Amino acid sequence: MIATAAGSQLMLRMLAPFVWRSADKVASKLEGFAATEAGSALDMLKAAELTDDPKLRWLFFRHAMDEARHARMFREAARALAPDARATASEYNLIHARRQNLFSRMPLIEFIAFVYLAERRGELQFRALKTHFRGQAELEALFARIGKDERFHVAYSHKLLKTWRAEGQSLAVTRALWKVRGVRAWEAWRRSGRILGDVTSRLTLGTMYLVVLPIFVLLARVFDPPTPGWKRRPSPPSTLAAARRQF
Amino acid sequence: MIVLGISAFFHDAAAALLVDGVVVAAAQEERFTRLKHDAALPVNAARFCLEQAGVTIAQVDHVVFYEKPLRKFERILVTHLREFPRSLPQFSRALATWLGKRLWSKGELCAALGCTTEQLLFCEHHLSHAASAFFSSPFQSAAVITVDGVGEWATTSIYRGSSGPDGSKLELLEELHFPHSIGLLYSALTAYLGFEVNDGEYKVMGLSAYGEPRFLDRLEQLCAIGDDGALTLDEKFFCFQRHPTRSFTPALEALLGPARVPGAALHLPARDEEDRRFADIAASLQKLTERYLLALSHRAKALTFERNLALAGGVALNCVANRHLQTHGPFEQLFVQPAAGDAGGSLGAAQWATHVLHGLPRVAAMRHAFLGAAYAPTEIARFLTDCRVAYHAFDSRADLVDEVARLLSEQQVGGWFQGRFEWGPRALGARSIIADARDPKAQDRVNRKIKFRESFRPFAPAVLAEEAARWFDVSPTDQLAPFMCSVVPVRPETRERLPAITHVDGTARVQVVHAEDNPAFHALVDAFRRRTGVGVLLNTSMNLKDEPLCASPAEAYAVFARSELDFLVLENCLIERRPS
Amino acid sequence: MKALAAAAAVASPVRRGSRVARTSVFLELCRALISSGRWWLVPMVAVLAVCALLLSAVAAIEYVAPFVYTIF
Repeated sequence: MIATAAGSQLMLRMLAPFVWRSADKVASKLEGFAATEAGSALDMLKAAELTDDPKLRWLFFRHAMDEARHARMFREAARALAPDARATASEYNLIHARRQNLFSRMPLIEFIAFVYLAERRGELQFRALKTHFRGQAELEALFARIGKDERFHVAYSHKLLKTWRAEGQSLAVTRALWKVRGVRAWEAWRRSGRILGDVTSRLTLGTMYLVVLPIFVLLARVFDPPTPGWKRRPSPPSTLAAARRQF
Repeated sequence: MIVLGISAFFHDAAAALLVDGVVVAAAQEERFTRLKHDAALPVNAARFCLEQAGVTIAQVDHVVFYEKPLRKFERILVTHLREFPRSLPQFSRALATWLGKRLWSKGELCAALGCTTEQLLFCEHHLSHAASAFFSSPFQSAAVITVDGVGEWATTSIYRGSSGPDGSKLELLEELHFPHSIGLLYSALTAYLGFEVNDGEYKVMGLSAYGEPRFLDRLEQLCAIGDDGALTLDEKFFCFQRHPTRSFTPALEALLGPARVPGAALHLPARDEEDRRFADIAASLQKLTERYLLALSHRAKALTFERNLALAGGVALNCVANRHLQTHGPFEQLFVQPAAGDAGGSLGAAQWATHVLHGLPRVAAMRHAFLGAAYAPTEIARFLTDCRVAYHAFDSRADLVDEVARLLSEQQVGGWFQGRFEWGPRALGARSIIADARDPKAQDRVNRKIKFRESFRPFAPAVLAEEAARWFDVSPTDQLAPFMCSVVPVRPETRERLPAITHVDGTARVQVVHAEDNPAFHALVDAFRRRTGVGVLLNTSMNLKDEPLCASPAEAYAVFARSELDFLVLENCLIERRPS
Repeated sequence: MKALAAAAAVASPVRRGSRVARTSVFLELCRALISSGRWWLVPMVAVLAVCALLLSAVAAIEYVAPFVYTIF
């Protein structure tokens, strides 16, 4: 549903009152986009280094430079909206800023399928956001500019897939697209579960803190009061047995 | 004997590989993942080290982790009990991390690196630091001081290191325990000054030169330094023991004034009262740190009677304090290993296992820090051709350096990429951005248009070893200068000729370049000297803001493409933005 | 590069994060506490062991996210 222009618009209209409701929230989302673009840049740069195909190397490198520029643009826009914008990027956003080494982990067709689907989703999302922010010149221009690059990324990756289909690899391309769709859906599923898991673990540990710890607090005060100043103890033993211990 | 050292999980994960005591390779994980201060298990760095040595993990005798995880967990449990009930916000996060991942480090290390539990060893955190300093130094015996935020329990340690026919020893003499930590005090004030902890400490050091230490008496309320050099923090000013994100309390703001908002503009030299206050607090913090380190060094001298001092831990990266120790301290010689922070723990862990545990004799001292990956000129040329980048390939180094010297003398700013990348946070001529040190506009230009960083941050010079004494007050036997671990005065009579690298207080964090250790960079600086009469260049790291130093040619080109560098040299290939 | 990655991941017998290994970590933690004189923390470690088990179950939540409301 999301992977169509109409779907993106509908999703945005439903979520906008919650997700894009204030300057701080918008800044936080832009920081999230910056993290994703930065992660994508790292992966595309690595792909450019590793590939042996000259044409692909040029495409991947250009893509990497585009993503790096987008990351900077999103970050600057976020900081213009909220000076403390960096502090509002969530832990979950920062996961996306890492290089995932996709090119090393996937066959080439699958990698290009991933690029195509990711860029297409991004392009649709930014197109919807450009419409949503009509009237806010800076944000509208930001999404317009970035959307233009994303269209190039969609175009080249789509062309590669089309070429492979024409060369008799139609089944492989179809399989790759479905596999990537499945992986992305599974990751989205896990992301929502991760948030829930974090909340649950904090509740569990918070309960333990309040219920179980007090007795040990008393024991610590009796048996282990803090003492400042220099401490002397024997040098750590230089034996293999001692070195194998984690204490 | 092949030993792989690993540091991970807190910040600056790294791997280092020793073969019969020789450091074959060492690298921080951030260089591969491009995530600054990456703390994740250094799988990529470890893989690189093994590849560089031409061995597999099965051939490694030991994989040594740089700390004892269960001792660290003990400290975390006890601290939460001591801080009850205020430690609730920290408790759930910390325990979730430890129960979820960190307690199982042994299994994780084995799974990620492919080693067996029998190969895996654990070295204490401060002992790893001490080993990295002592065994990299030229000293056969020395006092060793390690100062950082915190390891397992220790925040500051004093060792005696000795090597002889019977092997090597690192004898622990005494240590201070958490939370009494000059490193954490410094980090808390770094956060107070609006910079990021574990990243902004360097900026605070640069900021200190713009201020006067008029807050020193107030900062002395934050801690007591005993006659024996023991530090005791007044915990009412700090909350790093119990809060996941804040490190100082409202009491600190009541003492020093409101904290600086992160990212707020800071104009230096100070234009208004607020900027002046922050600069003065930074200056006062620097003074306090120097005073403490000096007291520590006297303590170490009294305990060991040694002539030499090796220093390690994150606080050893404070080059201004290192200089203070050199000139006012009781030791004749001082050595700091270039990756003195947590990354260096990986090296130290491997060295400890090699020289202390197994008693292998020591090899030559560390003379250079070029322990990372190198890239063949053919590989670079192919990359540039495929990416449709115009370049000129030089057949001889002499022609290359002459041309680059010419560009530099015309006030162009360029990237210099040669050989193996550096170990540690400093660029030393392998992955450097270079400019004419005589150009008064260079500092502003490089800060604003290339590095995109705060304008008050100074740049460092690289000087030929033969010319060093002419321009700087630096001794020919200075062990810190080749690694940029000390700040020295620029000679008053030469300051006007080197405006780009002379800090506001007349000092510079100099790198002395020796031909035998750094031939390509030495040749370049020498070519510049022949052209201009000045054997000094501005040298800063090849990376943009919030990024780690670049490692590969592609990353170097990405820096070039996203900044206003005038040219880029990748081994023998020169790329110009506006070809001359 | 890929071959090296594969080679690096292959090992002689490795004790991964299995239940057996986790038990041994908890036992080692108890030994660590006793050796440093903090024997009174050992019962707390036992409670933490239970927590660790619970959290392992919680970690599985991310796989069954939409069904959590029916489970709890």
